[in-house]
Amino acid sequence: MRTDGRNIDQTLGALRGEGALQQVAHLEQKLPVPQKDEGVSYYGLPLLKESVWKWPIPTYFYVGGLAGASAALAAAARLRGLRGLVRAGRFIAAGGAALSGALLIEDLGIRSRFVYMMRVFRPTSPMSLGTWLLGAFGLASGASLLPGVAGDVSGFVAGALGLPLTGYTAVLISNTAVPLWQQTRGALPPLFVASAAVSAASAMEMLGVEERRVRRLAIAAKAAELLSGVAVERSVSGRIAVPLKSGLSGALWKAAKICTAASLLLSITRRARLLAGALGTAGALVTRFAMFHAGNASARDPQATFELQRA
Amino acid sequence: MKGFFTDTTLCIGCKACEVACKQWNQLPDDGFDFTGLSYDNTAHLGSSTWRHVAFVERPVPLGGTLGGNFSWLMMSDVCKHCARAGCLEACPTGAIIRTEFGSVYVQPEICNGCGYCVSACPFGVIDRREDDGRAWKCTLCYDRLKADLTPACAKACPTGSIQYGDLVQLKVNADARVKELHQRGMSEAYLYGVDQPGTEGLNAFFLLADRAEKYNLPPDPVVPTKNVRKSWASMGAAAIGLAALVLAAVVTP
Ligand code: SF4
Ligand code: SF4
Repeated sequence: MRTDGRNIDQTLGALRGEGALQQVAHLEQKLPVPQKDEGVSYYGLPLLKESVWKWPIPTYFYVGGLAGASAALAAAARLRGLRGLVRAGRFIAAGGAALSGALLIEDLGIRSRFVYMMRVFRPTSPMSLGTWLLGAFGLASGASLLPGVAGDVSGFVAGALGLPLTGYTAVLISNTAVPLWQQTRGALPPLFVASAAVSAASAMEMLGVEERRVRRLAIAAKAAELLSGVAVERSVSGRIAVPLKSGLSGALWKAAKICTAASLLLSITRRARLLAGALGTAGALVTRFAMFHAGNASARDPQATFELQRA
Repeated sequence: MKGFFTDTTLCIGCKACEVACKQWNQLPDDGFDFTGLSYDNTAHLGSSTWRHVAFVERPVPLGGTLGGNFSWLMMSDVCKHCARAGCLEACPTGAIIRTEFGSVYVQPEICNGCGYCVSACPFGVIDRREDDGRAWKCTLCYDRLKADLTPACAKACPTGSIQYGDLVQLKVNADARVKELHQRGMSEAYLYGVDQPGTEGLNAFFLLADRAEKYNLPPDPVVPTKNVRKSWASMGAAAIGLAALVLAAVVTP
């Protein structure tokens, strides 16, 4: 008799069912927890499954955005021949692309099957498009480290591919049934793109290359991140808006805004360049975690789900 | 095109479907829990629970029935095998396919456990089993259908609450059943998931006797891909904005 919860005597029955190959390490599966809920629902149980993603995914949102925007920055800097900025941008882009791949593989249920991501090309799946995009970006940004014309051409390709890389992750999560992510489908991509621009500008601030130009970019990007954050807040309604105001996600969201605002202030007043960069980086990173946790919280709330899917 | 018609007014909550599904598919049990929520100790559909019987206790009578101020609604829930399936359209590996029977099937030898389908299903059906790493859900008994057998749950259901068959025929039966119930005074009976615009129909549809929310079903489910165009457009605009911003900041002297 097997002790995997199947209770099948293998001398009597063969394991050939559709679920027979399901691996079982612990029988106990987590049950959904009833939520505080005054409205009409099924015992307040969540309707949706919370996303199964863990910390590598929001971290990737940051790292991928940083890499993409850095590649774009390096490409622009090449037009002007700003050596230091080109080098720094290309290194961050290539390193970020490699780290992105590692983070995404880390979060898979079966890591050795990561290549299956490239089995098909599926335009309806932003994750499929994004995988191909990241793959191409990885090659281009890696090749951009080559000397001479090859490096320059690859650098421009990486710069062009880097632009969508900064924002497709927002499309990816808005293409879900998660109430907060889906309702912010119009406002979330600009936030992610702006946040990626802040990530790159802040990294350059900390490195201290091309200070004047980088500061210009940082100020504009940080202002854009704050403004698109306001747009995100305005695009959510009713129960779906709650996670941005309370709980862990609410606290993270507030912290992100404070970091970004403080770093904007420092950049404008040209003080504490290192701190400005560090705060900008923190703001961008925490923004992704706030949105991630807010989405999960909204998925747990059955009323938020009903609100989104009520005609 | 095959599917299920689950007539919840016939369900007696015996959970024969849950058991038949577990047995036929050789799924592990989920541990034995008491939720305290009526007779529902399964609580939800999950990676190793592909049929789930919901129990709704109401302090109001059901139209056309005898008895006092109480009624018990039971519903055997299952993957809807959506005509436009969020899980299938999201899956980046092509693990999820549409079979020749019109059902939505996850190929366990392909799935790499990226978890996208879990968030893309508007019904919270499919789930990733953490100790297995892959996503699992109802297969509409693909192996049985290939051998010309009825799915295990429909076969085991003693009241005919779960009916399996050709979708066109099932819809005819369902319409007739709703009419009959209305005549008997159960005016609240209606079909859920027929010509459902958001998913362009559900291949597993239901006859319900209360609001969808009571059964933990979304009132008007929409496949996420229907709304995603706006997101792409906004991303495109933002990316162009980023290019302009970077050029302006870096190229101008
Ligand atoms: S109910 Fe969910 S898991 Fe089933 S086919 Fe529809 S989207 Fe996929
Ligand atoms: S978890 Fe598996 S079935 Fe689900 S989207 Fe990813 S690869 Fe496809």
